[in-house]
Amino acid sequence: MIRWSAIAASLLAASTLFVGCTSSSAPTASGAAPAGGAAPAAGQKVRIGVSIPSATHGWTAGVNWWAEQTKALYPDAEITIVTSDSPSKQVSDIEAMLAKGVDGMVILATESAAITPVAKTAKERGVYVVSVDRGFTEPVADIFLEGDNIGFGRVAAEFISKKLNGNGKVIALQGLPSTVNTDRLNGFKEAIKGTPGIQIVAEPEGGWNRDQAYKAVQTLLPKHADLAAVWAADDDMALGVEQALKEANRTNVWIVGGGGMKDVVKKVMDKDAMFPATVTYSPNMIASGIHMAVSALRDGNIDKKRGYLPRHMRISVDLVTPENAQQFYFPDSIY
Amino acid sequence: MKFLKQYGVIVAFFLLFIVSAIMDPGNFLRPENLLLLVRQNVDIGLIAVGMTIVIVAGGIDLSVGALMTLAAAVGLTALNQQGPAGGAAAVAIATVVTVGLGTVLGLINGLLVTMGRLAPFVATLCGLVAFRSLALVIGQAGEIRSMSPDLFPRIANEGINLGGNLKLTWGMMIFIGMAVIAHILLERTALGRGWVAVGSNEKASHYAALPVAKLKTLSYVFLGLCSGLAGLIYASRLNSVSTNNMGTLYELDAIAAVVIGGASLAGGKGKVINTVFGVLILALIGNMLVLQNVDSNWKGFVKGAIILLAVMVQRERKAS
Repeated sequence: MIRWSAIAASLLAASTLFVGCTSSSAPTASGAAPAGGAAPAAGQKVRIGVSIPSATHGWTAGVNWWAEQTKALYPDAEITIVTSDSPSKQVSDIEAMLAKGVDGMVILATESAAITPVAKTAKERGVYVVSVDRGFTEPVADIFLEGDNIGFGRVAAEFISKKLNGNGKVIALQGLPSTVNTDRLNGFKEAIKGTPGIQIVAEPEGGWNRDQAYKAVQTLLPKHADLAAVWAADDDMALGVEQALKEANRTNVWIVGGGGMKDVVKKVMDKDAMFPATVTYSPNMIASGIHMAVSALRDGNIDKKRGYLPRHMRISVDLVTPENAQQFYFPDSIY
Repeated sequence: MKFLKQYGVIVAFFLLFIVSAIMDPGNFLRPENLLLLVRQNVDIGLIAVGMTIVIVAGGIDLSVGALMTLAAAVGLTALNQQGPAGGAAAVAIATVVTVGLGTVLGLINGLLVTMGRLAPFVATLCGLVAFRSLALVIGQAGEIRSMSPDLFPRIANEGINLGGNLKLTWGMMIFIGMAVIAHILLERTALGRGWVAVGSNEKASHYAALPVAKLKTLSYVFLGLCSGLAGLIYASRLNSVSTNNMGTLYELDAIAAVVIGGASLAGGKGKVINTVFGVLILALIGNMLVLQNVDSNWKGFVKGAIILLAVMVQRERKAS
């Protein structure tokens, strides 16, 4: 028994060491202070806490990647990124960061209502709060950078209606039951209602992932021989749909997904007939949020700046077509 | 009556099959759709077959979904290291690495339970989080793409043509093959009798001088092998490994299939053939929910209710 506990203890020690190594090696990307900016005096590093959901599918993995990238841009700021896999975990993670001491918090909430109280606490303690994507249920954020999930569905629906000339059968492939999914699906269905000739023949669940999307559409294809298009509430799922269509030799059916995944944007750019367009919902919105927090905080005068900065901004959902795809293509991104 | 007692799950399956056929005969009974029932569930099926052995031997393994992801992530990395022109050799390396690593990870699980004297639930729960985490590190939490655009996907997607759109894929054959092997091991060999004995009464097995630790470890090794194969087929099916969501909750589906098949979670009792029908019942439910366009918020409820029913049908039969 003693032998085993010793092994366990050394393993534990080794793993802490490992974690320590990886986290301390991250900010070494650049040692120089950014040119032009008035770098804060030594010992006055701005401390920013970034709280985001864990990477459970492609898009959130993208959020994580962009947050890490942005961190490397600001060696003069102390940016801590923490990922949480549930709302309750996120609350305790934010509480822990507040206890440690931060000047600003950038939060992408796992659920709006659940995170609002802790964001309020942060605000009351004088922490500068930037909320990204999903808002809080009370106006506690200094800046709310909103993602538009209803627009995500609407813009895709408008494109599909137009491309089908107002007539045809489509499958609406949804993600896991959640607020984001409900908004996207409702946005899509509302906009489709305006074109009575378009019929949504099925609303299967693709679980935000490629495999489940592949299987769901694979199952439905024989049933709908006259299918014209598939809308997918996320790009991970769009790739699964593509595979199902190709295997069934149904490449006349086309797909509109969304989320800004580089592979899908590339297909649109290359005029792939199965991907005539996609819509943006880029995970780089977390980078925008971190930029705002850092630039608002690092030169002081925060109270004055508060009056100069907008409280609420909404990131538009853009239709990506072969003509404009280049500007939405980030080949180095993980998503 | 004896047949019903032992194989109630098969009755439950055919009842569900008939219900599905009546509800949507045009689509459900297409041969293409019926083949999909197996093809789409080869990975869960493989894991469930291995899980039957572990459960019969008195254990449980929660790490399987993460285990198959880690094995496949390393396997694909090995494949890609051979470069785009790797060809058959690269695919062979990926296959050996994925299945081999799966088996080794299964061995680790087994040793933690036996030599480490940890409760299986705890030991494999650690595996569930730790294996996933290692896979995330390897794939930077994203997707690992295979550099073999043509050859590697064949494992899951190609096979013997049965005419028309119908195909018996290599993946399906691996699943059926492993199920047969597991069935023979469990029913016809000393090893299988050992597993049943250990699962029924570990202490008595000790006194009967059975190699308890070895038997238990071997059950996890076998499940590791099955999970490695499942990882290989999954990775081949999508020609990529999504380190963040591949195989999530597979452990629960696999355990559900075993339980629907009538095995006892207390150990000592279970049949591979019944587990296979448990997998087919889950597959049938999934298929029906998609074809009938059931509201996705209600899906879980319907699935839960049908599983409950399937288990209860069997219990009723047993009572009579």
